[in-house]
Amino acid sequence: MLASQPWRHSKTSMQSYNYYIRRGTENTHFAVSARIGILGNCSTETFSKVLKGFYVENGMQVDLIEASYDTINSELLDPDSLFFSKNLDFILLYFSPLKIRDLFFRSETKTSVADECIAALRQCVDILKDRKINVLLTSIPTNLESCFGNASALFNTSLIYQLQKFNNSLKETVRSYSNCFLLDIEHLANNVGLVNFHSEKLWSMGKMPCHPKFFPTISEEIYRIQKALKGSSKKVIVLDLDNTLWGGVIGDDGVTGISLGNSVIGEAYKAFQYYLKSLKEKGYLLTVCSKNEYEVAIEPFRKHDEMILKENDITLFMANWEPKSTNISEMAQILNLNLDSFVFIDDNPFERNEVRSALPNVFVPEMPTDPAEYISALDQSKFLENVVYTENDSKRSDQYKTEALRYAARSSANQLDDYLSGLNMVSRVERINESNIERAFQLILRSNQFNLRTQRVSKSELEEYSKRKDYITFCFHLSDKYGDLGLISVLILKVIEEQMFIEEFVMSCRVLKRGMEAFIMNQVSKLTSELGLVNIVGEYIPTQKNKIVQYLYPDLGFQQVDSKENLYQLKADNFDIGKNFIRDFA
Amino acid sequence: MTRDDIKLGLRDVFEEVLGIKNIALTDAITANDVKGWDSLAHIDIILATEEKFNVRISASEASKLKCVGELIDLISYQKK
Repeated sequence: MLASQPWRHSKTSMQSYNYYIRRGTENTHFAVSARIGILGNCSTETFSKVLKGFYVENGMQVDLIEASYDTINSELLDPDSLFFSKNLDFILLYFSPLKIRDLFFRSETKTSVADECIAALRQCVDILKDRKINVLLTSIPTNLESCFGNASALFNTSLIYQLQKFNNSLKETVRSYSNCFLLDIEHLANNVGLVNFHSEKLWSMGKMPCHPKFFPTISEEIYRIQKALKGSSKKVIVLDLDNTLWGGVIGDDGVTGISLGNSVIGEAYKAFQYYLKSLKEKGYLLTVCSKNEYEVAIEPFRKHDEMILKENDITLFMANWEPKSTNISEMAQILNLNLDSFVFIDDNPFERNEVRSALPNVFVPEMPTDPAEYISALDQSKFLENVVYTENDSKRSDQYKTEALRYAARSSANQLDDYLSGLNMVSRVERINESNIERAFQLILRSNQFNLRTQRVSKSELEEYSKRKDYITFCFHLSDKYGDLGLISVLILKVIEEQMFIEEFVMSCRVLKRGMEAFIMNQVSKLTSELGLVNIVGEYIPTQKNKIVQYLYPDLGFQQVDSKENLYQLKADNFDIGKNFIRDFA
Repeated sequence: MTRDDIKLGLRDVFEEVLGIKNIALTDAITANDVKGWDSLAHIDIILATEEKFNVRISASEASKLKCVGELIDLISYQKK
């Protein structure tokens, strides 16, 4: 359907806006798969319609509730508000700078306008945090006034100063509240230019936060954030070599002949490598997939002085003559990651299309012919949405790197037991606390395969569970002779009368088939009997991606609870539930 | 651009905004005569018209518009 739309390549037009409005009114057969509340200091009526249409276009029915113009505080201060009873995925708080400008003009104390706005905002966010509701906060465009020309932003009595302060405090709020996420409208406005984005006319006519032709773009951002909140994000960037990382063909031109550094084009490739290196440092895995002989392909990584990416920046290096899709499938297997977490970057349209048609779940951005535009092209393709970031992310690449070694060892070991016992695995167990909660939350979000109930417990819920007496939270770390794998499993137990219910059980796909589940269940069993409880109860809720744990509980010796298909229980008197080769750190 | 050309263009605008195909536009038609032409749709019609004809219609012009004929006047004035 989309391909026939003439504005396909320009989402920012009234044609596109009207298209989505109409899509939103169509009857669809989709079940409701998203629930969103919208509140604003501006009118959000037409925006909501576009958002609804955008979700329909992407195969989702969204249940939207919204309040009338500028009623954020009165709505949320009402304990009986509809916004609290709908089990919303999140509430969008949409701010227009023009409303804040109105307040500013009327205010006697201009230097405190931003603080007052943020104080009101935090009051709402506190309420929503207590109710365990996620909030999406919008930043605002700020350059609306230049009372002192270039010096305007220097003085706290100016509007632009107050608007910038609002943004800074808003971002600080997002950082410090576990239920808050940022929708960076300011960034978006900067991208398209404020002259286009901003509309005084539409503010006076309909209290619109910006020109409505940008509503589809904003909807897309929200859709992307929601997907990231539901745990779908990109993790692996697969790279071609020739004319992607350097100019020329290594097989023909040799290490001295390729173009990298020292020329206009060479510098462009070098800058692209710096960009990729910075992505690696943020936790994305880089792999290489090249049609080449391995010895030829690896040579620049070892010998070329201008190479920014080194051999050890690359998690997996595949150089051969197989179709690239075959190699990428194998990478997914080795790394134990879903194909939809892969991005494939290649200058060659033939290779891009081969991967696109063979592996439709892999994201393959279009690449410009000019390498000087590689960075902005990738940045604009916006596949890098991520709602959590932990300091440990920079080490992820190294952790996965050892995965290839383990894979090789596994292939050569005759018996799985020999392999596992030779790994010298040690696990450290701890409760969820301030130092590990970020990573625990991230793991809950990211785990799709080993995830028994896919409840996606939020960070504020985690905080709460770690303090409550009837919940017991566990984090498991694992290390082996190849290195530290970090925090790889989270378990939340709830005491319900005489039973220990497994509320949440996720594990990183990097450590599947290592006996970790048996190790964990032994710990649970010990704890359960120490507390004088009788049974451990586990539930498996099927999703499209968690088939791998379909038989986890029966495999660990659990019995099916009568007539309840996916509910299993185990008497807590057995501390040797499954054989494993993991030593307890304590 | 003749008034008839503008009418043809506006027909696309009305189809795009209100989903009404091949609307017979005359100068005398007002918001009351067209299903769905409420105050919100009015803004959408103004904005779609701006985009379609590459013209600018101010807030005060938009709020004073009484009928299709006056909208055509505004466009044809800027397209002279």
